[in-house]
Amino acid sequence: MSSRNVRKLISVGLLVILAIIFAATTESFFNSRNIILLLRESSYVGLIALGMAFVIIGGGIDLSAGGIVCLSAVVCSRLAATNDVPAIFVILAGILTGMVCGAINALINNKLHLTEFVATLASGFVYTGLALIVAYRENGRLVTQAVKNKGFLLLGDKIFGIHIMTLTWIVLMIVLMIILYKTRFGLHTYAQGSNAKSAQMSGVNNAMIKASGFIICGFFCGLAATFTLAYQGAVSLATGTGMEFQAIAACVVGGVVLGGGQGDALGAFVGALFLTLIMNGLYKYGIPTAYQYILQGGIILLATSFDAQFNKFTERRLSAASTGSST
Amino acid sequence: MSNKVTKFFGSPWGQRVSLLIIVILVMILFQPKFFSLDNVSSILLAIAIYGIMVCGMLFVVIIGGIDLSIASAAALGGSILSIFAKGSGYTVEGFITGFVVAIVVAILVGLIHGVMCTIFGLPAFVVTLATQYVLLGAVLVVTNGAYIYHSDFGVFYMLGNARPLGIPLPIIIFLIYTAISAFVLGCTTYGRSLYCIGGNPVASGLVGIKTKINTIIAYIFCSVSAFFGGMILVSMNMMAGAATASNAIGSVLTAIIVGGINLAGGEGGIPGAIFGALLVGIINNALILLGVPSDYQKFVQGVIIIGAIALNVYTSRRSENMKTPLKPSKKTLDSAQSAKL
Repeated sequence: MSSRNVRKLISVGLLVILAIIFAATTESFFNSRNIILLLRESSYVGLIALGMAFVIIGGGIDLSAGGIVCLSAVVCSRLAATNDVPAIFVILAGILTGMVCGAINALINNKLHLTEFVATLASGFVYTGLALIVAYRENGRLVTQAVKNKGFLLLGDKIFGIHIMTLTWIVLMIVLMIILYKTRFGLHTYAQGSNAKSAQMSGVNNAMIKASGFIICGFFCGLAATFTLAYQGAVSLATGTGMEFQAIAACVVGGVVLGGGQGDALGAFVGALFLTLIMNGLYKYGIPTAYQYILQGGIILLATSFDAQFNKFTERRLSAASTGSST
Repeated sequence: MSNKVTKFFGSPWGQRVSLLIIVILVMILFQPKFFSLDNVSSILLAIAIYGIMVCGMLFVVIIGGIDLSIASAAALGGSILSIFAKGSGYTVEGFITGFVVAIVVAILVGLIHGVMCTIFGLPAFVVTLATQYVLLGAVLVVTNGAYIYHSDFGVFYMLGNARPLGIPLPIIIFLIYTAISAFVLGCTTYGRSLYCIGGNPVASGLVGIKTKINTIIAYIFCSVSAFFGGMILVSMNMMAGAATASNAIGSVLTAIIVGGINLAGGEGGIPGAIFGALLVGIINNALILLGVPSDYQKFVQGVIIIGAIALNVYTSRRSENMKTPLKPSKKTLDSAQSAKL
């Protein structure tokens, strides 16, 4: 079995073990209502994690994801506060805002050669600030607007008992898997993440791959923001705060190694489920939210250290196998 | 003469100084209160606190690392000191215990950062991004998620508000802190080795520099600076909580970048860092005076970071164009390489 599959089995195994523990120890965990809600909750983190996974596989990172979610959600809520704008345009505006933010990230990174996490940290500040400017005010005070657009609210509904958001998440995960494994573009992304320089020498357009990664990430952030608004009916300016962190944590748990070249969309999918599951379970145990932060940070540290050791181990085994066969 | 002037304003330091002059001129025009004694001292106090954190961050940036956890670290430092000081009824012993405990925790945090980055070989921003949340959680746990308010005017109050010889104590601490940092960076073997590690970690290991130990010490210094800054801030504001210094990472990073310090490592010094802290302090203050809501601070900082880098790229490209006869351009190098292949 290849090391890729072993790593995936580990994360799926962890997920199953955790689910069994929670199902056995708490009563309100294993029922259809909780599972459906859990899936919706994880699709919020999960959609962002899918985009984040794409950036990370290509060797980058996007710390502005939270800011993009905030800005897209606010833009959407401004448009959906009246019935004047057709629902489809509201949805498109949310997604487009995300993509434009992603394009700006790409521009900053490609033109200014700034370290990626600093560039996206700064642009994240800018997006959150823009959201403040765009947000609705009455007499200079921020007021949360409720969504009035009926067509838009349909987006937060369920089909066959499952939220549209969850279904979209699953479909897009499959689409991303196909893009990553079956297309030249996906291959180039992996090549760039493994070794940007040698990829460039073999004809990969580094700037283009990097830019597409950021725009895809922006797309997913916009989508997540739009769905969340439709589900909740209103958003505050705190929307998206810390989401980039949760998305990175989801990716890392699912085996998308920071630094690039490893992991895939399915990993990010499983990671998001794992993260939401653990939060949900802790909530059921009545553990205060303060420990959530400690836990999330701890998970990232543990998972990255584990992956570093795991990669060393598999590399050693591979080199041992190759020298063994040659002699 | 005029040639010298244009040369000065073309140099990085000339640009920085002119930027500072422009900001101050704009402020004088729009807000006469800007140059009142109260306002100047409040600017200097803000700079003193962020300046201490910038000094710590500078050490880490020089070796090519980064510490994203300083905001949470400052909040934790302030909270620990507050709990011990208040719990003991504001006695001197309680204050000292709290101070020592906070510094010990800071050393532990820095040690974890350093070990994770050197021995486990993880990227610095991942480690410190994760510990940022761990420390924030720790603040919420020790404070029970509420603010701690102080009402004592003893030794705890003195740390942030005493005025020996009429100069606020934080400013004196800041000056001593920067002097020591500048001495360590410029005049000690340890300080010079940091530049080597930032320039080329592998080569500096080969010439016999203890890269791992020195890196770990830099991370410890950064954490201690952040905790220390947080403690002074809490004593100045007379309250502590999770929101203490929540803007610190934006301010410190902006100061570092505006100060012309290369985040790739191996460059930069205390003068640039202090200049950066000065400019950021003045801009933050100007925003408050002009009635801009504090929420926009981050937005402005984001714009400044990106703008400063854009300016850097623009000027370095222009100076590269002037140097072309001396240095082969990237294009000729590429064609030479392909000819070899």
